[in-house]
Formats: sequence, structure tokens, C-alpha cells
Amino acid sequence: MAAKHEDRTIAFQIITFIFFFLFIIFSVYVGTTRLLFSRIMTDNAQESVGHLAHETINLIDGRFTKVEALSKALLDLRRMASLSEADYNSFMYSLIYEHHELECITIAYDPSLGNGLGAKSVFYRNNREMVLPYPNSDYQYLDWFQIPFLLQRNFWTEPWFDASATQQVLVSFCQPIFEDGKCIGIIRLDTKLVDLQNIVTPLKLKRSGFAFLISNLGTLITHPADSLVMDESIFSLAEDTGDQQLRKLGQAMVKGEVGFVRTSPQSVFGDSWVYYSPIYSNNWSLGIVIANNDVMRDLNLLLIIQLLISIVAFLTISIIVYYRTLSVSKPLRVFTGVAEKIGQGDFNVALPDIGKSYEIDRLTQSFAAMQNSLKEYIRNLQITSAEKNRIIAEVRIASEIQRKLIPRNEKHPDVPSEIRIHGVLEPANEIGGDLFDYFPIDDRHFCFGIADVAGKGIAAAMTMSMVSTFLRTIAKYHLSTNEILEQMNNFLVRNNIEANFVTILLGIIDLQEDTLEFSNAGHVPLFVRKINRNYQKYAETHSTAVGMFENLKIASESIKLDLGDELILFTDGITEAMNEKEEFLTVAGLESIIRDLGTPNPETTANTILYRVHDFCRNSQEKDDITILTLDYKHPKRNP
Amino acid sequence: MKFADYTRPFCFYAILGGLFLLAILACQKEPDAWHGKSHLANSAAEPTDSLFKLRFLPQWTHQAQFAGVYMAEKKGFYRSYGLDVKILPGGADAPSYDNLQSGKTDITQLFLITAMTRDAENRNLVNLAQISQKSALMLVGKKDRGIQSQKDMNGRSLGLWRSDFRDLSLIYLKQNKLNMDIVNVDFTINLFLNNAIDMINVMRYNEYHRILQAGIDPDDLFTINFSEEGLNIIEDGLYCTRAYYNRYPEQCKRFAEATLDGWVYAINHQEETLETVLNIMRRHHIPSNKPHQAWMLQEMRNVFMARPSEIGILRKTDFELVKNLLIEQNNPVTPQSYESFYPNGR
Repeated sequence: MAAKHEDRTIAFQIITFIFFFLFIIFSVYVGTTRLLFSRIMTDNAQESVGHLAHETINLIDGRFTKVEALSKALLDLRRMASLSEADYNSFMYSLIYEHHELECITIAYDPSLGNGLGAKSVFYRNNREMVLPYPNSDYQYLDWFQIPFLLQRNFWTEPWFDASATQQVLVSFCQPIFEDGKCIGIIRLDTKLVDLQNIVTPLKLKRSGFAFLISNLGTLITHPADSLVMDESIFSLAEDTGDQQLRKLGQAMVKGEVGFVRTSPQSVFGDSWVYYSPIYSNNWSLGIVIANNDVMRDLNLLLIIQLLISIVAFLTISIIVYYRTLSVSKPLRVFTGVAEKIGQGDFNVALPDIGKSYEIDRLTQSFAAMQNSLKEYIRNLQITSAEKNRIIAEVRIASEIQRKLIPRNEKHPDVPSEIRIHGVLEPANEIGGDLFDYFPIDDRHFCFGIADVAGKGIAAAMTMSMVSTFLRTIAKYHLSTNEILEQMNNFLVRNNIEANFVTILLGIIDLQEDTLEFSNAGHVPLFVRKINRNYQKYAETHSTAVGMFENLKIASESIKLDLGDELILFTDGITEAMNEKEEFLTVAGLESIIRDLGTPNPETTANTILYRVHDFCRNSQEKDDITILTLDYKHPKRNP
Repeated sequence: MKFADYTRPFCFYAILGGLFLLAILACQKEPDAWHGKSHLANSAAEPTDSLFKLRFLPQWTHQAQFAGVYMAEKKGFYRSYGLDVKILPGGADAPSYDNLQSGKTDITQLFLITAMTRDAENRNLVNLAQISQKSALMLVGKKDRGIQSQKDMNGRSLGLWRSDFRDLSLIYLKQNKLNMDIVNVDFTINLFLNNAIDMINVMRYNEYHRILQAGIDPDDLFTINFSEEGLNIIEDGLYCTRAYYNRYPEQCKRFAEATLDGWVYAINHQEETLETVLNIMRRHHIPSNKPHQAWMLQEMRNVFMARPSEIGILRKTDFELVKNLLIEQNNPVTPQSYESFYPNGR
């Protein structure tokens, strides 16, 4: 499996890593700073806005208090000194003249008393002293008279337009006049609204802050948007914009509460803070609005500066890391080149002398050690390879020799015409331990055999060669299979160093008597197939395998051969052939193959069995030598 | 059409504004958008010479209470009925009944009970159409001042208007055996807001909402709706004098129909109507407060549509109810019959 190649450089990875952690650190820093400092900023804003509000309130209250004091002075004078009406008027003129807070003074008596005193206003018009009897005979029903009269206490009016006397918008202080403990009228001192507006309207805070004044009924007295003044109340604004929060704020203001609240971004004031505090004289309320952005401006500025510093620091670190990483990784790049050359077989490439650090020095030493090891290894490999090649060549020669020992299947001049014979030997390796052989002993006797040497490799092959050579040699002198095998047993016991035993099935056909004598020394069974396709299995062994015990007694068996009999010999490479389920073919499996065979023909029979065995074990890794020897005897369909 | 006291000073502005407008019109400059067409020779559009000229005086300063008249004028309903209507500025300085009698206006608007009381004098009023079909009159008190139920009203002070409808409240008190200290008040709610009085009578479409606009929540108010107390005395109607009606009966009917059309239009097009009302108020320098006018228009819709099958009609039962009530209280009452008082009903 091919490993995924990392295509990101070390510099990139380090910079990404730094960015990631700087980002986390900065986020935590900003979050914490905002959390901790926003409260401080808010408190500071509340404090500074509160100071401003109270200064303003003191200015307004000072004005109101002064008017109230003048009113009290007038009443005291009226009570204590019996001045003539002209003198009293004169005193009132001088008060208006001297106190710019005063615009007009009105004294009104309760008409229901029937004293005919009525009401009059004194004021200046074009620097002329004016006295105006109150034109509206129904003045007793006007707020400025009726409310303090009913309440029997001092009252500050809402702003109102005085169309008759001063022709100004006024705010009036109204004080009941008591005589003998009974309220007989009202004295009213007017001050101009515009003077109050001039105190409040210019108030500016930071960028967007502004102040507004509402009456105790919620009417907007001053507001930067002049169109709202007097027409709207804080509650009508709230209703118009569907702003319930503003209505709640207005209710708190008219109740004379002090507070510092934040308004939602959807409200009339936007995302802002509102400080509100009452004017103590008349329960009006002053509100100062400051945008949340303004409150947080310094903090935000600080955070922006911190952000910029962080970006600059990040960029600087990135550049340093980039160039430093390039410098550090330079030896790595050099070593990459060296490794590539070594990989291409150049083991003598010179290592660079760039050991500027401990790690690179170690890397150079390791590279040198690796280079030397590789050289040594390759040298050993070359020697081993040469040795192996020589052995392989020799094995090949041994194999060739072994093959020469096996008779070839092409028409053999020595095989008598009564017999057709076909052998197959498939060694699992270059050289094997299986063997088949056939040859005429004389004109009457035809010898054939099949053997399997236990073990594999050279030793088995040598034993096989010994068996083959011995058989051919001794068969000339013995015409009995058991004698031949007994001789062979003793020979092998004496001369076989590895003590590899050999299973062997040896047969001699007497061509004149039509008999077959055979001995089975520990070998797999012999099958004799009749011309009617029935078969007979000769499974009885006449001894154990040869080559183990000296002077082994071996029996033999003779059977009569019929015309067309087919003899099938094989080694255990057939019956022990294994499929992918690790199951053997077994003798029974072979028998089923034999039952399916067609007309006896040694070559076809041998090839068919071989094909079926290959088919059986086609998916198996296990391999053993496979040997089959088939022959038929005096087959009638054969052309002589 | 009781108005908070602080609006009164602005009548001065209203008069100034009116004079200013007249000056502009006299100079034949660009005609006023809604006012000019009605009484100026508007040669380009229709020859107004062929239209019947008529003056209408609302019983108070311009506000959504008269929305139907404004929309009938603006949408050309009057012109399509062959009328050239001039809408006069109303207010405290122009009492509608007196101006009708003195001929300063041809048609005006009056409460039914006012009309039937004042008519005892001259016996010449004719009701052309009945705009209101439901009483909007209420009494309110602050719960936190200890007025939680009807019995809490005993011994408390009640502000009643010096003129219209005080009788109705007095009848209510008598019917319910309540003993209250009556304080005469003008068109102000400030006495109530400043706690100089405990209760006050208000119109639902006007003063009641102004109280809410002073920051008092509806839940904090104890209210009595006369319409639910067997005193559903209907209010606004259109009136002219008998002499005028006899002389121009057809034009009077057409004015009534066009005005009712205007009301239907106003109710179906509230946003447009609201803009129109606010424009008129601004032009006359009357303090305008959009949510208040929106509330008023919505409430006027409720009184106009209270009996959907009898829009614009003065029912005999309503006429009789008021008449009996006035007789019962020994108050002056019109001697006219229902058929004579409301000839359009026939």
C-alpha cells in the first residue's frame, strides 16, 4: 500500500500551529477582557453620565428653587406689609426686571369668593411694564389655578403657551395664597421653557450622546429632535414604535426613580445606555442617552490595537519561522539528494559536511553508518547470489540426469509390441524423489516399477538414482519381484546415508504365460482395469517400505492378465493431492476418476487422471511429486 | 372632543396658520392640497362654479374624530355628489351649535344629547346622519388610589366637564346611588394625572388614551363604560338648521351620504386616512401624535360600525331614550318629534 505523501512543508505546519494557538489565546484574551472591563466601562460611564446629569439637574433645580423662593418672598411681603396695589405691582416689576428667570407674575383669586379681585398678570412687553387683567373669566378651570387650588399645595405646570400676555412657552410655579387658613387664590410665577431647553439641549456626550427632559406626565420637554418636543410623550413614542422597554423606562422616570439601563438595538434609542434622574423641584426627569458603542469605545479601541499587535506579531513570527525552518531543513534537503543517489545504487556518494547542530551531526554519522552497512550487505549479497547460482546450476544438472533415468514415452524400441506404456512424472521441485521405470528383462519378461522416496531434495534424488540404477542392474539376474526388492532393501540399508526409505511397487509380466508377478513394498494400491471398464484394486502390501530394515522378507503375488487389461500405478502424490479445503483426494477419489475413464489407452488414461488431479487441487498451495504409470496388455484394438 | 388643556395654547398657532393659509389662497398660489380645492375656483379640474358651496364646522379642532369628512373631501366624494365643501377649523373658539345658529356654518357636528338639549331653545335642528352608534363615554379612576370597584367611588372626587355630558354622569351616579364630590373641569386630564381629583369622565377614543400615554397601564385603571351600563347614549351626528334644510334638502342628503361614504373609506383605508389626518393637523399647527390619532381612528371605527346594519341612521329608540332621560332629569329637551328631528329617516 502506497503511503500518503505529506505535501505540506514543515514551515507551513509550524506556522499553522502557531496561528491556531495564537487565535485561541487571543480569543480567550478578548473574551476575558471584554467580560471584565465592560462592567468597569459601564460603571465609569454611569459615574460620568451621572455627574453630568446631576450638574444639569442642579442648574435646573437652582432655577426652579429661585423661582419658588421669589414666590415665597412675594407672598411674605403681601402678608406682612399692607402695600398699595401700585407699590405691590412696582415690587413685582422690579423682581421680574432683576431676575431674568422670571417672565411674568400672575395673581389670581378664587372667583367663587365674590370679592371681585379676579386675576391679573404683570410682565414686560417691549421693555414696558404691562398689567393685564386675566382675559379668561374661566381661569379657575385652568391647570395652573385648579390643580394647586384643589391640592392646596405648590405646583409646577406642564409647559404651556401663553397666548395672551408673554406669548411664550412657559413653565409656571403656582403657589396657593392662604388667608385665615383658607386658600383664596393662586400666585403664579412664569419662567421661560426655552431657558430650560438651553440648559439641556447643548449637552453632548462623546459622539452620539444626548439629553432629554420629560415632564412628570411623560411629555417630552426637550429632545434633540425638535419635532417631538411638546407633541409627543415618551409613552407615545413607545407606542408608535411598539417599544415596551421604552414605556417601562418612561414609567420609571415619571415615578422619580434614578437608574442606568441599557436599551435594546430595536428601541428608539438603539443599543444605548440611558441614565435618568428626577428634577427634585417638580418631578420632571432628565434622561441622558449614550450609545453602547460610545461607552465601550475605549475598550473596543484597546482590543482593536491588541488585535493589530497580534496580527503584526503573528506575521513577524511567521516570517522568522519560515526562514529559520528553511535554514534548518537545508541539511535535510541535502540528505534527501544523497538518499536518492544511494537508492539508485551509488553507495560511494560523498556525505555533505554540514554538521552545524547536534541533530544534523548525528544524522550525518547515521547516514555514514547506513552507507557502510549497505555496502557490506550488498557485498555479502553478491557472494551469496554467486553461490546460489552455482548450486542452482548444479541442481539443474542433477535434475537433467534424473530425467534421463526416467524412460521417455515415445515409442521405445525395447518395449515389446504387446504392451503400450505411458508414464508421467511431475516433480514438485527442480529435483524429486519419485521414480518410474520399465524395461524388458529378456524376450519373455517385461519389468516395470514405480517408487516414492521419502523426503525431498538432493538426498531423495540421490536415493531415487540409486534405486533406478540398482533396479536396472539386478533385474538381469532375478526374475522374481520379491527377490529383486529384498536385494534392493539390503543395498539401500547398507548404502543409504540419509536412511530414506522407499515405497515401491514392482511388477514383471510374463508375456508367454500372460501373468503378472508383483510386489508392493509399502506403496499405494495397484489398479487393474478390465476391458469392460470394471477395475480391480490390489491394495495388499507385501512388506513395509524398503531401505529401513535389513533382510526384510518380501512376498510377491501373481495374477493372470486378460487381453486388454490396463494397469494403473501411481504414487501418493495423487491420493494425497490436497484441495483448498485441505482435503486429500484419497484412494476413493482416485477410484471415482478411474470409474469415469473411457476406452483403455495408457496415454489418455494417464493424462486424464493428471488433469483431474490438477483440477482437484488447482487452488491449493501444497505441491508434491506426482507420478503415474499406465500400461495396457495385448489390447485387441491395437494395430500390431 | 374634549381636549387636554395643553393643546389649548396651540389654538393661537392654529389661527395664525389659518390666516397664513388664507393669505396664500388669496394670492392664488398653489391651492392647498385638501383645503384649497373645495372653495377655490379650480379651473383645471372641475368647474367648481357648478358645484353647490357648503360649509362644515367640526365641533373640535382637527383630529381623527372627523376622519370621514376629510376623506370624503380628499377622495372627491363631495364633488361627485355635486358639492363644494369647505371644512372650517373648529375648536373652543368656534362653538359649533352657536356658529350654526349664527350662520357661520351650514352644517356642523354635535353630540345627540347636546343637540336635543340645546334644541329646546330654537327648535330648529335637523339631524342629517348619525355617525356614532355607541357611547364612548367612560369614568376612570386609579386603582392605586383605592378605587377598585363601584362602591369605592363613594365620597371621592369626580371631575366632570363643565358642558357636555356631565348630566349623563350625574344620571349614572343617581341611578347607582353614588355620592361623589363633583369638580368642574375644563378639557384637561392633568387634574386627574396629578391626583387633584380621584376620577374623571373621558371619551374612550381621546382622553382615555391620553391617560395611557401618560404612562398609566390599562390594568392600573378602574373604568366604567357607559355603553355597558344601560346608558349607551350615542354621540356624533351631522346637523343643520331647519331653514337650511328646507331650502336645500337635496344637498343636505347628499352631504350626509357623501360623508358616510367618506367614513367607510376611512375605515377601510386607515393608514392613508391617518396620514391625511396628521397632515391636516400639522398644517394647522395642532400638536399631532400619530399613535393617538391611530387609536382614535380605530375607536371611531368601533363607534361607527357598532351596529353594522344601521350605519348612519338615527334610530327612534335612541331618540326616545335621550328624550326620556332628559325629561326624567328635568333638563331642557327638544320639543320636536323624531320624524321632524330626523326627516331623512322617512
